Amino acid sequence: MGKTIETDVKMVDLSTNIGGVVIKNPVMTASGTFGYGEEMSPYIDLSTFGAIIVKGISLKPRKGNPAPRIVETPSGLINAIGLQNVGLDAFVDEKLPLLKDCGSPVIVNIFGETIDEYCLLAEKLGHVDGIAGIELNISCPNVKKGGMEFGRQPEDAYRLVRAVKHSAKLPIITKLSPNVGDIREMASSVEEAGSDAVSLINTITAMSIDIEKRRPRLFNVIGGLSGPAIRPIAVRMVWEAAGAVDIPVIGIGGIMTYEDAIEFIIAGACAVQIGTANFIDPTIGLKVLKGIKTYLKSHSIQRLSDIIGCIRGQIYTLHKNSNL
Amino acid sequence: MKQVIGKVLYNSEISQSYFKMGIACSDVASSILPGQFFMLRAWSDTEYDPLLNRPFGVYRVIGEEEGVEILYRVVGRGTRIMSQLRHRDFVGLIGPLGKGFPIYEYGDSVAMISGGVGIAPFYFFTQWIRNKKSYNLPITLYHGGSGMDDMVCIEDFEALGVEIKSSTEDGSVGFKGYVTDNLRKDLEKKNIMPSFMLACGPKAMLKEVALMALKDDIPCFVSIDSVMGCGIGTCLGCVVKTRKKDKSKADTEFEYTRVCMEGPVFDVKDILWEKL
Ligand SMILES: Cc1cc2nc3c(=O)[nH]c(=O)nc-3n(C[C@H](O)[C@H](O)[C@H](O)COP(=O)(O)OP(=O)(O)OC[C@H]3O[C@@H](n4cnc5c(N)ncnc54)[C@H](O)[C@@H]3O)c2cc1C
Ligand SMILES: Cc1cc2nc3c(=O)[nH]c(=O)nc-3n(C[C@H](O)[C@H](O)[C@H](O)COP(=O)(O)O)c2cc1C
Ligand code: FES
Repeated sequence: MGKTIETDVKMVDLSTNIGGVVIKNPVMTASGTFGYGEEMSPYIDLSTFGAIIVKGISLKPRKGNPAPRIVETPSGLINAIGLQNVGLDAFVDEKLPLLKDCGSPVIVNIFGETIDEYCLLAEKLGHVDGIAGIELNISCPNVKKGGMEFGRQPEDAYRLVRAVKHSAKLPIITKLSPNVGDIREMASSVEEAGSDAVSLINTITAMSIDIEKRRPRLFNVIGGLSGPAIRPIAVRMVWEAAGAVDIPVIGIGGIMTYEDAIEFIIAGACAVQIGTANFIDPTIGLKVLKGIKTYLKSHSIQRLSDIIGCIRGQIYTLHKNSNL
Repeated sequence: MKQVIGKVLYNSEISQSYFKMGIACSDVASSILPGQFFMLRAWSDTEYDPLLNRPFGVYRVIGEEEGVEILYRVVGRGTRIMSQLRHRDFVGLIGPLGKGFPIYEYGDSVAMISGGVGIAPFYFFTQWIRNKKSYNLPITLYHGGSGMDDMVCIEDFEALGVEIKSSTEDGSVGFKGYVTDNLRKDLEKKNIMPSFMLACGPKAMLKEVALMALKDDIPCFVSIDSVMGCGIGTCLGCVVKTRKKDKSKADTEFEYTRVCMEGPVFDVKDILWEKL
């Protein structure tokens, strides 16, 4: 009995093409929450995922911020890690060997402080074996613009993505910041600049204060909020972005269960990334994947693509037919 | 390390806000080394407030390696929820995690220094030492707290032949003052000359112990407490400042090292105490 269900579930078509990266299923890991894969391999088979997105990499290693770096808030987590990472060379020499044969495509999340740094990273990664794509973290301060993040203004994001696209042979996913006025404008401008896909959302800027000590709880004062607390905001932004662009949209933000993942997919995401939930349950990726399969099967849906953004037409009809 | 579901065997208050919880988890109980820890979830994984799992050391392994006993102190929301668990309730466990106390010859004598619930990892450590070769190794426990309520589990240690040096800030038990003052007094008078020191407690206490150890050139290992996001090395939230491995740069350059993976036990020589 169990076996029949298993075979049937396997028949559901979960594959998608994300701007040139073919993925076998829509469940990915979110950057900064899955280490470089090696930390998670004792708990979960790394071949489970549609793609593994590794911790953000810069040209040179970065130390990161002093502690405290994290604080828990209601159904959320504020972090100010400060983009600590081993740097490109150590990543390629020490971390990539385990990852590249793990059975899931590897997407490298990158960031820099200047456009040139981003371009150099993208170009160098293009010569490395075993990398399926690049995710551009544009929520990094631009030192040439007084520290204003690339991801805050559509023009800055446009310039960055365009330049990187010229330097890179690999597919580019631009990871959007939610800390902007209009997410649709941001999505459109990076699409126009040539981005092959967008992923969203990165963390929402946030702050928490210890009222007894009358001190900020993070050394960095401000950090980025993630976890279930941000999910409804993320779903809204994915909905808006998916309505504004034709390139694939990857949904991120507070996904803890397969139901949450399905919600993003219905809002218009072709795939999802799981972040903070990995901290609580390192096997969560597999659970979400199994749940998605079972959901599709029990609702007699043959292909995942049948429900991606499926409420769009329906809402239009609903509104047209209402007399309000 | 594994991810398992444990069943609460007992959970009782042994002193004001101190609890002992026995958890059946035979899958992991046999592989624990002294000083390692578990990430524990005392509530369902579909409840997100509190969101994160909490780190706890192991007080001892119980039965025929059928489970673990945790000694914990209620300090906030997570530990309060823990304190309400009853026999047969379930907890989520990931572990054993991290690197524990170094397992090698401990020389002629060991001094353990603990503040409050920092006493927790030392019982398992002592048991381990007693069961292995050094049955007669002289062990002294300097245990400090703010008052009588913090003087927990002393009998357990006495039963293993540990010499106890208690101190309380209010003077209700033992030496009046900080545990580090009690230790300093004995080190200065050469009442003790431990060949090793181990410490667990608040960071300020660890720093004092570390400075004494470095001054007197006594090998010393401390278990560092840190707020943990994941406990398994992925979030980089738990870091402490350590000296660079490259010795030529060791005094000028530092790096942030994960307490959950490279610790929680560190050699005091590796930590940048002046920056803590
Ligand atoms: C490796 C390791 C082993 C540990 N072993 C034990 C143990 O055996 N027994 C035990 O009682 N406790 C132990 N702890 C500490 C324990 O993890 C915290 O007390 C617990 O996470 C607090 O959770 P809470 O939800 O009750 O408190 P919260 O509501 O999260 O916080 C309450 C207060 O405690 C502070 N706090 C929270 N977590 C920590 C922390 N990790 N260190 C210092 N202050 C903190 C907060 O800043 C706040 O002021 C250990 C910690 C580590 C890192
Ligand atoms: C501790 C931590 C570190 C992160 N590091 C990165 C990073 O290096 N690069 C990046 O693009 N996003 C990073 N993120 C953001 C996540 O990838 C994700 O966008 C965000 O956490 C929202 O998803 P979630 O709610 O599922 O965690 C990090 C998030 C957390 C919690
Ligand atoms: S607690 Fe997440 S890396 Fe240590």
